[in-house]
Amino acid sequence: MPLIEIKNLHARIGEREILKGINLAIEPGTVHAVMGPNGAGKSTLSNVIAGREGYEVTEGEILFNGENIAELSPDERARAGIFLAFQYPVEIPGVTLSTFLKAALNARRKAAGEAEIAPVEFLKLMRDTARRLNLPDDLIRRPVNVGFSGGEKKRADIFQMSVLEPTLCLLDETDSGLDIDALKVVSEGVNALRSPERGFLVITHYQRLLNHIVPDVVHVFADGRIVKTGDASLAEELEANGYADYTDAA
Amino acid sequence: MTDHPLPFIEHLTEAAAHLPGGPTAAALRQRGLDHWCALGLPGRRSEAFKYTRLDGLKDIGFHAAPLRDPHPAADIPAGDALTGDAHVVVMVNGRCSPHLSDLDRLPDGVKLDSLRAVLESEPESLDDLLGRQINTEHHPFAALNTGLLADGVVLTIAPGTTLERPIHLIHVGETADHALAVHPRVLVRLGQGSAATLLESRIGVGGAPCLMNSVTEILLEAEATLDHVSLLNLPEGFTSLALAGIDLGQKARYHGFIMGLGAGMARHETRIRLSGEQAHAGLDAAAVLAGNQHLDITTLIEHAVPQCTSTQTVKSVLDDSARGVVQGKVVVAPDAQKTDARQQFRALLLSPKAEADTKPELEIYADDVACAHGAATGALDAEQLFYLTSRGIDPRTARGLLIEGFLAEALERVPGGAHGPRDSLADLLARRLSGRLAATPDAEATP
Ligand SMILES: Nc1ncnc2c1ncn2[C@@H]1O[C@H](COP(=O)(O)OP(=O)(O)OP(=O)(O)O)[C@@H](O)[C@H]1O
Ligand SMILES: [Mg+2]
Repeated sequence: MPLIEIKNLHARIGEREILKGINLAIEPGTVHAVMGPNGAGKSTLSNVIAGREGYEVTEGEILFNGENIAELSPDERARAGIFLAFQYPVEIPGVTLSTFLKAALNARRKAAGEAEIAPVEFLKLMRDTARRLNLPDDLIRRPVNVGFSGGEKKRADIFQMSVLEPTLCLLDETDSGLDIDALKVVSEGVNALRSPERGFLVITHYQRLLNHIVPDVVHVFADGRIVKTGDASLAEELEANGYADYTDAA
Repeated sequence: MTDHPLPFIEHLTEAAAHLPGGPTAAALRQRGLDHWCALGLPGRRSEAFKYTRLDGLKDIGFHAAPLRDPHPAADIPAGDALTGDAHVVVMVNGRCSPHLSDLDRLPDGVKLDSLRAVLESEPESLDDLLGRQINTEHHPFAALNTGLLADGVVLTIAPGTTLERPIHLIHVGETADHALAVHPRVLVRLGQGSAATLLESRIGVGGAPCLMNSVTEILLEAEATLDHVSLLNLPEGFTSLALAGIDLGQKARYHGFIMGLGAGMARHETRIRLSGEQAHAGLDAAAVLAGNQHLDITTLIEHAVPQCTSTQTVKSVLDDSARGVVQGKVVVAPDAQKTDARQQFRALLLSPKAEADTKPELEIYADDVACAHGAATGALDAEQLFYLTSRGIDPRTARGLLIEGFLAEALERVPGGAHGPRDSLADLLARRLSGRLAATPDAEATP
């Protein structure tokens, strides 16, 4: 059974249809990359999967582990194992990354019938993960994303993902704004999470990321549809030729 | 009582005959009475009370609180007050209660007495303090308080003395079967170079309404430092009116913090006069209100001389039909050059029926000054809520985190550092927030 199966998904914002019939299945253990021009609907797709308000699904369905998630709220989806690394991570003044993550982690543990994490264990987890992602120690004591550099925000999202260990990771342009070293560190962080039961949807504009996180499947997204699907070599082809072939077709 | 055109007039006339103090106190009371008669309850045309309607007070048949020492009240809701190590003074219905207070471990140089005792024994010692920091001519409730002046607390700190433990003044309102009006007066004098922390908690019990109408007068001589934290945590049926008049000498520092968790109706006014050069006043507040609670924080900071600084941050969280009023005025006198004055008022509305009225106001007559003010009102941010919930946090907890985050900046400003009342305030706040406040389902739908 696919980890997530999206069938003929149509979604609109207000009167405007953005997703025009998406079909996509991600098997556990695989990495799918999504590439496509600005405004094609890539973020919309990841937002709709995460359950963000403001989108109306007019047709089709999303099955996660075989179950339709239409009625699940964002927090229920997250506790079920879906994680979205934001294209634009949000600043939360006054709430430290550590307070935030502890609440998130305990929410998942509670849903799984587990006890709250012990403070010492939590601290160790935070410190080890921060070190692995080359994040300064003090970042976890600062308010979430407030005053973080662009690259730090992206790394902080991957940091959260590493701590929460979701089964479906949606990465929306996590590579944008990262310097070359950070790109490597983040990719290593993502690769470390690759496992037989976990699946990834990696949205990116640059083939460069896919040199580090090698995808099993690459999709070209244009005007609300997947217009082509191939293997890793498709990304290289896009890098060379651009989207002209596909946008004309769409 | 209710059929009388001017409420409290019977309290005033009856009281005059047997209240403590010498001729000065009597004369002061007479002035208070005259001014109350001239002013009466603030009406619709009162600019100062524009957002806070108090005419309803005339329909409540308030009784005057008895003058005798209060018996030790068995059911003081101490858990509603600030906690922590302090010299505690309890006033029950405006009367200083020696039984409930611990005044025996005061260090040298610190005098703490009931106002009534001082009025009876050495009223002349109050001549340059009592009635000096406030003007009853324009303030009806201060006039009323003065007309009924009988008890309260007098705190005097000798020059050069540093008081290590805070003084904690607990105002308890306790009603049984009839409504009570109480009018405590607090007088504080810090001698040159002295330092102290004053905590105040306003708490109450009882089914009948209570009007707590307090006046506080604080004089900081040169280089004196006072941290002053006031908690307002009264039941629904209570009305809390307070006026504080504070004067700062040269290089004196005052830092006030008000935490408003409510009364049904409350108006707290602080008037600060920076009258010595290089003095600094901080005046911060945080409020968390729900139901039909109303809190009006009105402030005046008067820069009378050059080179003084003042800062003010007020953050309010308003749920249900609560209303938060913040009127803050800064006046810079013509020769108060090099003044630096900052004001920042922010309100978070959790419900479409909640209302925030924020009015920062600058009146500047000097030219070489740095003044800034700002006010903002908004609902919880939908993007932030989505970010939190997308990590698995349920909406109620997410809202609670955002509310706490909103207030965090204000809480950081609670004076007294690690040994101060910050933790105690944070606890009270957490208890408040764990109630129904964060539960508003339509919070993020607020435009
Ligand atoms: N809240 C909104 N209201 C109206 N239109 C919206 C809204 N959000 C997105 N859109 C529109 O939907 C379309 C798809 O947006 P989306 O963010 O999904 O694109 P994208 O493929 O992620 O683009 P990019 O590569 O630039 O990130 C765009 O035309 C965008 O303007
Ligand atoms: Mg996008």
